[in-house]
Amino acid sequence: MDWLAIDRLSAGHDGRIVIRDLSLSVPRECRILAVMGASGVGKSTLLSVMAGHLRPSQGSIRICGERVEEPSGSRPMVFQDHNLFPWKTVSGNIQFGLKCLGVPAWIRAERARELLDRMRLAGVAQCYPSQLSGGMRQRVGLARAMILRAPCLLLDEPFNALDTDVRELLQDELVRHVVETGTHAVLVTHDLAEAVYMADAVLVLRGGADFDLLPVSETPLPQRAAWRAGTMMADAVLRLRRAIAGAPGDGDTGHAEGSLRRPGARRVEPESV
Amino acid sequence: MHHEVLLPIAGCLLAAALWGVCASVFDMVLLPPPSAVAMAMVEQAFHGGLGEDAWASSGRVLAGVCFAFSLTSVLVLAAALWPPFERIVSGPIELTRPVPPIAWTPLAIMALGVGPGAAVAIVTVGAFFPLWLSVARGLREVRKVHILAARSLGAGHARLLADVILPSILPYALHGLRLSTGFGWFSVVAAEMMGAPSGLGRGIQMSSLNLDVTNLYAYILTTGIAGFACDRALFAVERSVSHWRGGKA
Ligand SMILES: Nc1ncnc2c1ncn2[C@@H]1O[C@H](COP(=O)(O)OP(=O)(O)O)[C@@H](O)[C@H]1O
Ligand SMILES: [Mg+2]
Repeated sequence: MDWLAIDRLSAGHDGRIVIRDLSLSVPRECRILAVMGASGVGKSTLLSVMAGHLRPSQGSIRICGERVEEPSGSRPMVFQDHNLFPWKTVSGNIQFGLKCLGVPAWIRAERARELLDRMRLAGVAQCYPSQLSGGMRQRVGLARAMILRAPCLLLDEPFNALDTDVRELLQDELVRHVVETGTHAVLVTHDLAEAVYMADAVLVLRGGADFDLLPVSETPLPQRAAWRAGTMMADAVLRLRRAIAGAPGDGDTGHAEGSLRRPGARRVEPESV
Repeated sequence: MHHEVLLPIAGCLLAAALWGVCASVFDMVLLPPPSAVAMAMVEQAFHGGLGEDAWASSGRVLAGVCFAFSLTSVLVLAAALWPPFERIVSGPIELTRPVPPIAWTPLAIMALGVGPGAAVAIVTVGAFFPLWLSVARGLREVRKVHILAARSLGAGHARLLADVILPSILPYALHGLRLSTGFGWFSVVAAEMMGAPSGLGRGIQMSSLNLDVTNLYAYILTTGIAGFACDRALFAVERSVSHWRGGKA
């Protein structure tokens, strides 16, 4: 059974189509799906449609058996620029989702405290977002979505602009969350190592309907924590880079580290021959 | 911090000194010495009607601002639930807004008689417009990203209203409340001068009819002080409620 099914989806902004006629499905075993692609290719647009924030001009999406019609707490979204509620404390922000579910205050506070500890935010529980650093805000944004233990998390570059150690901490916490709660996640990222470490498959958007769905690794998610120490990570990154380049083993690695190719540069289209 | 308090006080003392000098140099009926005005204020406060009049006017401002606040709340609630409503009401509101509140006084007196009712009605009119403008602006400035974030965390209409829309417009509402209380004081004095059984405006009117210039000054100064006190109190509330803005205005 597939947890994510996209059927002939077209979507865009102000009448300008960004995603055209996209169809794909992702099986249950794939817990975390990374979405990659050049900037402006429509990663955030796709995520907004998944969240129900943007109506597709055509087609449909099913996530965890539920057709996406409007925003829902069953697929909370973590935004590229956090979008915390500035009038709520860190703890208040994190508890918001549970408040929407009508969870009593003392249980909410308890769950928030637990999560604050895990995310190393305990010291700032009563601070307002305006008093936090960018990295802290991002952590709050992540915790705010994680507390719901929803069937699917939608994450738009959640670890951007973080120091390496905080970044790794959060990656590990997110993996742990996914493993523990059995949730699925869509993770937009432009970091190959992150995709390799966290994702079971990578969706590479190349503009319009052109995409690749690449498997990342046979190693199950919980066991990948060991990768950080070893050389397997580097190998896997290299494999993914080759796969994205579209010609495995042809030695074409002459382009910049970690960057994905622009649409059109990959394949020789019949009409251009 | 100290300068914020001390300098304005120094300015007041300087103005009073300047006033004293002018009064003694020119020695006119229209410019009594500040000491005489201060004496009149104390005298009037304890033995005359100044205290009662200030109390009556304050009550009318409070009542009028409360009416304006209730009216605005109802309109904002409707506009929050159905956004086109804001545009619809903005038509009639923009057409009546340029009319000075005092222009409604004859109508108010005809409808409600010479009593506190007419003055309260005028204050309501004067206080409503700045409050509505401010809150409507706040409503338009509710950030879409906050609404989206709340919806994707599972917020329904009620939660959205209580936890996102109202907190977003609260700073605007408090700022509007401060402006509208100021307009309320303008309006109450004007309305009372046109006919009221009591109040600072009536005191000003009576003093001028009796050519009691010292008393007139005492009433004018009292009006200023009362309005200032209201403004400071609301400013403190505004500041304490908007603490999450982290210093940004
Ligand atoms: N709110 C918007 N209004 C209009 N155009 C937008 C909006 N958001 C994104 N776009 C446009 O849609 C395209 C895809 O954007 P986006 O999905 O944000 O790309 P990505 O996240 O992959 O960098 C870009 O060309 C961008 O300019
Ligand atoms: Mg983006």
